[in-house]
Amino acid sequence: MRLAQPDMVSAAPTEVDRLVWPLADGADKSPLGVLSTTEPLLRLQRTQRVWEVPELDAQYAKAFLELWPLGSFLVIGHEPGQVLMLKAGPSSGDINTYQIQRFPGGVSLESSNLCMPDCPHLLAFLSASRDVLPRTLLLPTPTVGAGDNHSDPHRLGCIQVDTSGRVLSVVNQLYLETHGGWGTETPQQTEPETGQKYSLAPRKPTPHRVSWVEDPLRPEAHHTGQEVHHPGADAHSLGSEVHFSCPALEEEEVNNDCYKDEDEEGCEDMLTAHIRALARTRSSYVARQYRCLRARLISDSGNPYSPGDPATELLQDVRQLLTDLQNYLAKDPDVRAVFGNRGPSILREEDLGPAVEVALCRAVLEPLKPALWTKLRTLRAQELRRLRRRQIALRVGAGPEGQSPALRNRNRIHARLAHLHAACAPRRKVALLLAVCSDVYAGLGGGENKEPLGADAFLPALTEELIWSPHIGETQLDVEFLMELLDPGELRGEAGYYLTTWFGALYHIAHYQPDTGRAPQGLSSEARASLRQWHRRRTLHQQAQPTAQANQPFEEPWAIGDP
Amino acid sequence: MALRELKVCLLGDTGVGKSSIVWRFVEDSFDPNINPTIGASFMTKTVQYQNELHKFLIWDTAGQERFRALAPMYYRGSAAAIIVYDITKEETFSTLKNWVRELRQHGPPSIVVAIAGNKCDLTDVREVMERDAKDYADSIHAIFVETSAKNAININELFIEISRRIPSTDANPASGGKGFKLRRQPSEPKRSCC
Repeated sequence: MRLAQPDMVSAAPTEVDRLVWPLADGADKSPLGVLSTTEPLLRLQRTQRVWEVPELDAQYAKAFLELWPLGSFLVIGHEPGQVLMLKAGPSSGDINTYQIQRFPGGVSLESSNLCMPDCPHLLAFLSASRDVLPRTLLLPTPTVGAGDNHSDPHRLGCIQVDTSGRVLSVVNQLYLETHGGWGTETPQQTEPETGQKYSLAPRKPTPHRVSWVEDPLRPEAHHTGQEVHHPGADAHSLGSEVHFSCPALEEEEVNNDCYKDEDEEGCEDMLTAHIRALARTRSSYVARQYRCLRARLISDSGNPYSPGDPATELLQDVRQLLTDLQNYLAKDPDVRAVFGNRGPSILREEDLGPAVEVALCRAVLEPLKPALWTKLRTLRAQELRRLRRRQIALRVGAGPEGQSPALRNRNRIHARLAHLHAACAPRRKVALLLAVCSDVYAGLGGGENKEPLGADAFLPALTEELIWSPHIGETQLDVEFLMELLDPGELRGEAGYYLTTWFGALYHIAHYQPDTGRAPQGLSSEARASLRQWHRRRTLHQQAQPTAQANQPFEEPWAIGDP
Repeated sequence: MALRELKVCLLGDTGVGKSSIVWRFVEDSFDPNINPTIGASFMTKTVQYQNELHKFLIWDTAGQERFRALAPMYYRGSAAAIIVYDITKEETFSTLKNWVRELRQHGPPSIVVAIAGNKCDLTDVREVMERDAKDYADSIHAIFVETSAKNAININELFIEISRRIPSTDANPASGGKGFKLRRQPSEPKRSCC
């Protein structure tokens, strides 16, 4: 097991070091010298999402740590309540928690005089010198040579001892399977410092602080709608952990032209303005329908008479509302007149439907979006929490972010996922989802003979990307939203294929149970129920399919009589 | 001429050449302007069959075992399934039989099943005899061809045969007879299922 000693590095600090790591008095053992190598810092920066998981609660963090080697750690919570949790000893009670304090000049552990510019610097130091800790930190391993973990009996033993829950088993198995996370190798076995490694741009020091709304790419950051989260609040929390209250929508909000996805048409057109005006006119059909859905979104109760999944039913009702209004408005003489006067270009009858759809999304769907998403997060809270937990577990096993050939695309993919979430119109969301797919393909490179690669390559690559997605819960909701709102015809085509694949990848992340061996054999009743639910839902859109199919059990033919 | 969209699902172990087969099939029409799909996991090609146009919407699946539980989402609503194995790898043929069993239990009732023994250019290292595979396919009333995506052998024939087996629109699908009726053969002898 690697236990880095304070005296492992004794090179004298440079002037740059002194500037970069200003130290308060009280730090012991020539701390500057400890960090004269940048390897620990780079490793921490590259694995930041493995060790820094703000939304993980202490109980789960403890459960993870109990499985990992001594010296393993996690940073959880949000500023100012951020804490370092350290596995300090072999027994389950030996998980210590330290408050991380923020000062204008940097961060430090409570009861320590040592102050560093940010968390990675502080942890890098603590990996070499324990300061107030009972032991030095063991850093996550970015890369371990393939095959060398499976044969390590020490590690196998270590991992098997404390297995007590399902989540823990996942971590275990992935740990063994994919060589990531906290290793027990010596520093000499860490990856060689190749040029490629240093060509990687250092990641932002605290990516988890950057929420959807703080991201400059997200137009919603600048508007005053209900969905704006406060920095430091649990901006990407899941479900019931959402910190903002249920929005009380006012009538004026219908007129609130605050949101624009940057790639959508810039200025509001006459048609949108006309439909907005209709939605404000109390007695109009549009306004009645709008108010009806809005009331449902902000009420706490679901439909007590409906046995179905409430989130799905809600989305189906949204679709019903939009379809209904689109049909109604396309026949409305005023709408047709406005459409006819829209501009110098020649307008065709077949353009009316799509134009009304776009205007409806802006005038009706957009003002309801914050409330709709809040409701969906609440209804899906449990599933999203599990998805997030499994995602974190898979991250630990997935190795460093830098290992995917799609690394150079990853920042772009994250930006697109943020756009996807920020967008309102289903069509726009689909376009962005397909753009992410293109990025994933681009990261794969070509196959043999320059043939494009198929699902054998694409699905694992997409899954890997989603494992590193900073807001996987929102992506899950985006996918479900689109699956319910798209036309049935579209679901058979390319959009349907990729939506299915995204849903599948997310499902895989949320349900993967490697400890059961072959996944289909181990399909839990819960997983079967979920598949059945999916099946039933999709079958609703299938005009020609008999409904009997929807109720088939998902027994697995693989389990019996395997040749 | 009537246009029919036919969803076709590709199943089989990873590495058997599922996407190569489709790529070879759509290659000549893979013009970004004609076939603007973003990648090879989903591709389309329209062919004429008698007095109809058949637009194949081809859904590829990941062959890795860990993704198997996702397959129902892909074969659901499919008019046909192409199950691919590698003639040089016996175990991929065993996997194929499992797929047949799964489709029989959970697939669409009238799905047309086609079995493709790929890499038939590699006869030197063959592990699955063509005769055995053909007998198996016959026993379950499935289409059978040995293909070589590499040398473009039997690729178009595979899809033509699928077109031929798809019940025509004017016929009652329930009495088509030619299709592979998974659930309409409950008394099928066990030997046909491995």
